[in-house]
Amino acid sequence: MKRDKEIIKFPKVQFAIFTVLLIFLLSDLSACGGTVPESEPISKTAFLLDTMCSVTVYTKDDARYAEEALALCAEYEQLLSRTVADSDISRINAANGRAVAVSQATIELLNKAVYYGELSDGGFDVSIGAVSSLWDFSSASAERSIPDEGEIAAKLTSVNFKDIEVTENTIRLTRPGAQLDLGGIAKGYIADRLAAFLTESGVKTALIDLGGNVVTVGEKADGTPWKVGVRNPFTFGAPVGENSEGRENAEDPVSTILGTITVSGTKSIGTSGTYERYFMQNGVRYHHILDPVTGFPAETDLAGVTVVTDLSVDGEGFTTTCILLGSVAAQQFLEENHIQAVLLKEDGTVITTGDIDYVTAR
Amino acid sequence: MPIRTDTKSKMRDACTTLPPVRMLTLCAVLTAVALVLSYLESLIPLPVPVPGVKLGFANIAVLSALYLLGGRGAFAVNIIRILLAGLMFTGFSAMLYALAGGILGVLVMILLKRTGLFSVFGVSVGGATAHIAGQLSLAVLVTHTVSIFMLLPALLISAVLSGLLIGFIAQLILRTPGLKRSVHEY
Amino acid sequence: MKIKKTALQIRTADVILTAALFVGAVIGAFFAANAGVYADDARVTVTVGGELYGVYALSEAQEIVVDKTYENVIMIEEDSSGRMRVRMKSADCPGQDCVHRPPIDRTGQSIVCLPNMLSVEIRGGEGDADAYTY
Repeated sequence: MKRDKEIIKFPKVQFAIFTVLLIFLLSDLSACGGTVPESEPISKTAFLLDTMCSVTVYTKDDARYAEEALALCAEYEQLLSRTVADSDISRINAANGRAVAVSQATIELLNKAVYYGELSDGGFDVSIGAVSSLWDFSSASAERSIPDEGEIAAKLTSVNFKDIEVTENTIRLTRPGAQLDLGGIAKGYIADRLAAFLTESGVKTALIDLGGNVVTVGEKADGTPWKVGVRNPFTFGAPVGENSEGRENAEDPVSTILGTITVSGTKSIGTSGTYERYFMQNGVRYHHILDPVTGFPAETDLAGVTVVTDLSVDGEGFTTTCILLGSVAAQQFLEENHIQAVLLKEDGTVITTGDIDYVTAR
Repeated sequence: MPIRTDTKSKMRDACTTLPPVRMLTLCAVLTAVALVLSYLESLIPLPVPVPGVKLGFANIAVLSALYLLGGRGAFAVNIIRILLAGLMFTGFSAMLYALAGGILGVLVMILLKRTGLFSVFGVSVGGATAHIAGQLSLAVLVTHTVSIFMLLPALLISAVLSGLLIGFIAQLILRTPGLKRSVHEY
Repeated sequence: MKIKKTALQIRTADVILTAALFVGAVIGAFFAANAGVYADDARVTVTVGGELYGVYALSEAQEIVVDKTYENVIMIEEDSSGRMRVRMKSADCPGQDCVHRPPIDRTGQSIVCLPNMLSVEIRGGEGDADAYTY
């Protein structure tokens, strides 16, 4: 049977377009090596406040402000650390009840500290210094001893934030034996000061990270919001001490981040947790957030609390308070005060409060 | 048997049905061709770091079967070819993945041809893409590793290019004068 | 009989399909290449047949041997620039696709040995966010 073999003629035009497209795409593919970063972040770091501190700016011109901010941080350390011999705090601690003239920064900070003491009904107490000195959570020492209960009881008598007398330019510890320990609030306060310094210096975009206490400054140049990851304390980092449980659990491969918080503008994202500094002994975990009533690590069902606030000092106050409150009371407190937070319970449950923009990690 | 013309097709197929014996013989021949092509291809190492990239020469025979014997023919040629290849030289594991890709590939090819919109090129490209997708999906299912899909873009490009090549060769063969086209019954 | 030299047939639909797939693949490739991050603290997850075999730290150079249907030797090692990476050092599977796969170092990437139903994936780790709070 004769067949018409004529097939539709090759549509040259279409083929030409196709070829051009192909060539265009191929050349495009080879040209693209990767994304070019819009602005290279410049980070300055220093080991201060017994942890890694960094200030990140996003333009070359701001680099000097980052350096200056770190220098400022060092200055504050000299002022507020109780391990520095002639800091304001050390002088107060050594004054034996006498009033000590201190800088305005210290006054401001102590006022905040006392405020948080009241807000938390004594849970947050910066006069706990005498008791915290009995404990050693630093990673340096291998030998670990739990302080004697009698010792703790004796020192506990010196703890009461209400007996911190703050005047316009002096501070006095009226309780015998009282010692100040600003570990739970100093980083936040300093971070706020650094943020203020950067803003006043005209820096439009910066990021402050003092040992995990994060403050975002301003807006990013491309308008995108800040993303701050919340570390998963169960899977990240090694615990302190010899009898520590290994966290490389093959049965539970989770990400090292719990999730990511998104914020815009200048905000503080701070975390307190019972896995930051702790040691194990006889199967019991002793963490660094002490209960001012017992003198022992706070008994709580919370492993970590992350709070978003405008001021970092507030964040510090809230996070520590929440740990002491426990998940139920903390959640209530946070919701009542419309505070954005992420609560991680010991059993792994995550609770968010306020209208926080939090996304769980994969 | 009635002669049916595919009215959607711009291409004027002269449709005649082949006697069953001829169909069977043609099917067997094409399967053998596919098998040999598959074997020859396995001897050529491709210097591409991405696993799963192949030229798919065997599909020349599969495509030919599609246009000469219809969907059933193409399906038979491909499946039997994969099974035989698996028994003879590729190994059981590779056969499973080839089946996953092959079944999906042939089905898509049949579908695309049925629409009448595509030429052999389009059918071949579509089939190659479906083949890759099928293989990747099985790999993901077996290993529970979703990240295997990350290889999809690179493999897709390879599928498109090889689809075009195979389609081209198949067209050359199908244009051979004297090759009869048959009615496609599904 | 004069046989007309017929042209190859290509239709609009073909062009559209091919172009769409190609463009899609190119865009996808772009994303895939840039997806995932390099993170020191990422985890290397090894699964066999869908079941977890082990989780290892990317930061620790080590050799992992998986002996099921076939034997695979996975290496976590440091490359010339000091970054950690994972590759399949050797395997006795037919095909050797896994051994030929280039080393991986970012989250989301994987090396698989299909005959052995083995999958090596880099997961978790950080690098996405601007900062981390802890």
